[in-house]
Amino acid sequence: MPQDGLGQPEFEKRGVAAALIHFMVTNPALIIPAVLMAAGAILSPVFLTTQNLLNILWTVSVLGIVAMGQTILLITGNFDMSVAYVVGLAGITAVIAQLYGAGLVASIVLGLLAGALIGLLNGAIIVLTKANAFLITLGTSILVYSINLILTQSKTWNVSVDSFLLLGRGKLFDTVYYSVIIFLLLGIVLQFMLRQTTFGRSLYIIGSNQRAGALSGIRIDRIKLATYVFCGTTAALAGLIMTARTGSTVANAGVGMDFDSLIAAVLGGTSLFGGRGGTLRTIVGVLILGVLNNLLVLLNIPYEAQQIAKGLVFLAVVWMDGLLQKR
Amino acid sequence: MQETPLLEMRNMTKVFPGVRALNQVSIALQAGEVRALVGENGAGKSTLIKILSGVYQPSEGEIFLDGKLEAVHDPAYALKLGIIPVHQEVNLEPYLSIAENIFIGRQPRNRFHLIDYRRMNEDAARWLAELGVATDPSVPLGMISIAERQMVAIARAVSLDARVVIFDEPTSSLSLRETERLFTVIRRLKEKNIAVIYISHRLEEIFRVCNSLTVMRDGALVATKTVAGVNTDDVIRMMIGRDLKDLYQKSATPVGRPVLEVTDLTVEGILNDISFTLHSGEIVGISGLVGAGRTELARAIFGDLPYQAGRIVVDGKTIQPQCPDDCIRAGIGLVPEDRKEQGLVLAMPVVHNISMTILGKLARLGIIRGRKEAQVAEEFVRRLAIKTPSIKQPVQFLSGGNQQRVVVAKWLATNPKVLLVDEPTRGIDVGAKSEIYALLNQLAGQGVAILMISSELPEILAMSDRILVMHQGRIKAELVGKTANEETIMRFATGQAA
Amino acid sequence: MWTKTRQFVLQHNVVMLLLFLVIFFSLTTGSLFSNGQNIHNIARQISFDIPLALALTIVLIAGGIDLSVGSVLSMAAALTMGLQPYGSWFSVTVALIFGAGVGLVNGLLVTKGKIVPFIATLGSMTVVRGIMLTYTRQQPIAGSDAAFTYWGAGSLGPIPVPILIVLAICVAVHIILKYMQLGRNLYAIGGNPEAAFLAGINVFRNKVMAFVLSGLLAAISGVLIASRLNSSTVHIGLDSGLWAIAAAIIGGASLTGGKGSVLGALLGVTTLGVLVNGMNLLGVHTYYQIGIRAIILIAVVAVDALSAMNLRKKLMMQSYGNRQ
Repeated sequence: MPQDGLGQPEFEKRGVAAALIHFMVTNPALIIPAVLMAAGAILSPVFLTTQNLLNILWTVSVLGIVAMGQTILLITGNFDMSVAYVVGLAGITAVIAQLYGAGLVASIVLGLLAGALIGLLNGAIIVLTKANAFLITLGTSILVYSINLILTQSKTWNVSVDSFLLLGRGKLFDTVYYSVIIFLLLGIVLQFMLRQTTFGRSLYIIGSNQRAGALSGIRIDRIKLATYVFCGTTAALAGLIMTARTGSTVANAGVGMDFDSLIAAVLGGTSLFGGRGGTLRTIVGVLILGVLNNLLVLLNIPYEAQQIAKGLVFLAVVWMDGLLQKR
Repeated sequence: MQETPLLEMRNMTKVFPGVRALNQVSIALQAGEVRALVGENGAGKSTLIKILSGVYQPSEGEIFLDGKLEAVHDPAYALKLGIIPVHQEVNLEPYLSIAENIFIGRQPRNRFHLIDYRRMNEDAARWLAELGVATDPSVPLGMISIAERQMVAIARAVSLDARVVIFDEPTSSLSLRETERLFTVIRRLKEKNIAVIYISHRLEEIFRVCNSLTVMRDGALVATKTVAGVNTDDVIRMMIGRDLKDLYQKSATPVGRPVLEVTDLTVEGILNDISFTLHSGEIVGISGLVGAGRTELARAIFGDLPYQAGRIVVDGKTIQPQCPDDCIRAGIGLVPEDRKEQGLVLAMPVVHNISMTILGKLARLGIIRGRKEAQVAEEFVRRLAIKTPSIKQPVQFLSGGNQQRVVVAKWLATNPKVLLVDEPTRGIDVGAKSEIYALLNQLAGQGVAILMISSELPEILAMSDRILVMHQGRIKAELVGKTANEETIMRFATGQAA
Repeated sequence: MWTKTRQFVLQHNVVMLLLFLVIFFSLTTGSLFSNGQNIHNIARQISFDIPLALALTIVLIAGGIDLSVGSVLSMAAALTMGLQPYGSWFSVTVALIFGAGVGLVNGLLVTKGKIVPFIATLGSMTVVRGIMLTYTRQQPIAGSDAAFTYWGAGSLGPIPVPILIVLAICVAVHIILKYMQLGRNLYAIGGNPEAAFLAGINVFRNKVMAFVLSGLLAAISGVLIASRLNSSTVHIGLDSGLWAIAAAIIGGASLTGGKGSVLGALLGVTTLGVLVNGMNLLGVHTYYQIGIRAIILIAVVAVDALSAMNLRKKLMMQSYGNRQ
């Protein structure tokens, strides 16, 4: 069955319900979470309230932005496990820059740059040595952690430019949070990029059959490097927003987002094998993850059990994804 | 002659999606019989052997050992039954020692049931000595030459409890002396009443060491004869079947200016001082055995294999390609050997596969113009008569012939001056083959210079204006007209002629 | 004997590295070898890392990887302490069975589930960590058997007891790897999976055993640490998996499979142990130590990848034979 977006327009003709069913059938990875969600609606009265759902959206925006960059990488068949600490690094960089007198724009740019540089480091090593992306980025994640510790000296640092806080706390027209808008907008723009641009097409080709792509003239190394820089930058953006929300920064902000961003992408139907997926799907995946988390909190299930649940769901989804690949 | 054959394979059929690799092939071997299995690439020999050795399961058919029906469900069981294959590409463990490779899975034990390395090395040395190999068996396999590794594989087969031993192109990397040793081994196997299957295209060897031969073609059995009852011409005729020159007449095309000049191209260890010129409208065939360096030559010209010396000039301009993209810009295209692994993205639709090489040209400011892309794809589907329900059909559902057309379409889209094609009709059934030939001829007529690599001699002979024969990284001969025939090509390809 | 040693040293850069570090730190700190106490400390410290490095070495030899060892370690420690009121032998047995069980699950996920080892063990790592957090309720558990601390904290003369236990384990693993069918099968599977399959080796069964051994060894490490600390906390074993990978690869194992040895694992752990010890003696701040260790991990993996690339090229060139 065609997995990329080329099939989509045909379904819009048949109606939303049919499209939804088809989406579920071609993405068996969503069945488990969807079932969980239905169970949640039954188990908790608070679950389906607007307030709760809006809360979920707000909560997941930061992870969602990280997941955007991760999705781009996953489509090419790569991973970035350093995003968690890059999130922290960006915030720290911005805050410290502000302490040295940087203004709103300068501190944001520096924060993004920090993420981009780590992305560049990851990409350069992985492209040049063809080393395992997983292990290399796990290594750089610890390196970034150490940098974070050194920069913060384990102390909490506060944002000193008030306008910066708007990034995380401000609302457009006093209704929708900027951070939510950024998250959703990013997802839509990236989806457009993936489906409609040469760069996006190249990503799918690299992820599906890199060799055929190389022999067709696609410049694999350059593109891979660019995706890593991009992923680092999006992680940085998420970090800036997170810092803007809390108003301060800690060395291990963003912990867990490496694994969570993977789960979110996989839940949304992006394959860990590469060549399949999209950012709109990841938005769905992130929302599902947020719902899952929310449910577990509402049902008073402790953090530890959440970890178990996440791990199991992750394995189940990956396994089903693997089955799908065999077809 | 016993009455019950030692080995019998009845009605062997194997169907893969889109291709029938084996069709009702039946063979029977007596104990002590040495049977040659001959046929061109794609004839089905290796499929038959893989079924016998438990790697594949047949779609239909049965295997009988000593008259008893056996279901050979995996290689471990085949080994237990005494069916021992010696593979063409030496498939051994490079990091383990020679002795370990010989005794893999059955290392000798001491009284504590632990592996006895001393005894293993001694036993290995004895087996190796029989084959004339004097290397220390405790040396890791990766450190010895390919020829020696082949001897190790043979030593392993011979040291096992065998009923049927299968040799697949065993002499391709062996010297004459080593080949003689192999023949001695085979004679000894014969004396032990072991049946031997000997796959080779070297007919002289077959006539020396085999009792009988089975000829296969296009997945089917052509004939089984005794070696005494046939000669070389008979065998070649049976292998090749209809002369494709009858099926397809190549029309003469006026040959134009030189578009590709390769001078002294050298890739260390693989290609040596390759020089030739390709003219517009010309089809030049490249012939040679596996390992001669043909595909590597194409890759080097295409920027996919770095070269250390030499010059490539396209249409008068010297190029120094760092990657295929450079070559595509210069006007070169490559239809690769393995269309599924190298030429197509199977999950993607026809239109995306065709546009892969010209994404830049189809885009404005990086955004692909979808309608233009579809237009281009539709045009090629029409022009090349690609049978597909729509351009949105994922190419994995197309037949082999149509998939190949999609690959050709992808390259035509780049308007190439030079088209390198590597095994253009591999895995394509006979009917579709002639259509591909017509297509290539049409392209040549339009001025494209074509370099065609092929292992199928009739194909090369029918299609080429000139034939370059490669052997061990060099061009050994250029054959035109009357001098171009199977025997001459094979003589140069196997290095027997200067 | 001498040629074999020379061969080993040349093939294993770790020996050079270790020598370099030892010399470097001896010169800069002066206290590396000056008192036996420091050697004693190093020995005790690395004894907890060695089973993990062995675990990773085994799995790497088979062509896989196991990220869950750290979590298994922490849960094993928790079980050892938590169930100790029922008897130390009992709690240790349960901990070991747990480790082997997780290994079994990992093995099945990789073979039957066809999930790539990285992903499979990433998932199981998370689940096991969750199980540990649930079991301990995120609280440390104190031990209830003072005699039990002998195994981790005790000394036999000048030698720490755990290093003796661990060295015995090393001998056992070495016997498995070199003198038993299982070990040789693992090398075959990792070195050339197709050849192993064609040779009749049951790839699935052997791979599962590799993971079971890995889980078991991780649990042993956890038991020893619990014995040493006479307690278990939620922090132990957090990054241990990554360091075990670094130690195993430094010691000669490769992500591509088919390579590795007990001696190599020992040398790898010792090298890292000397490094950490030296940094401590030099007073390098822990923040920088973390960074240095990260750089080492990255460098080790990158170098392994480069040498794998070189090896591929070399093997490919060999297939063309000798040409002038």
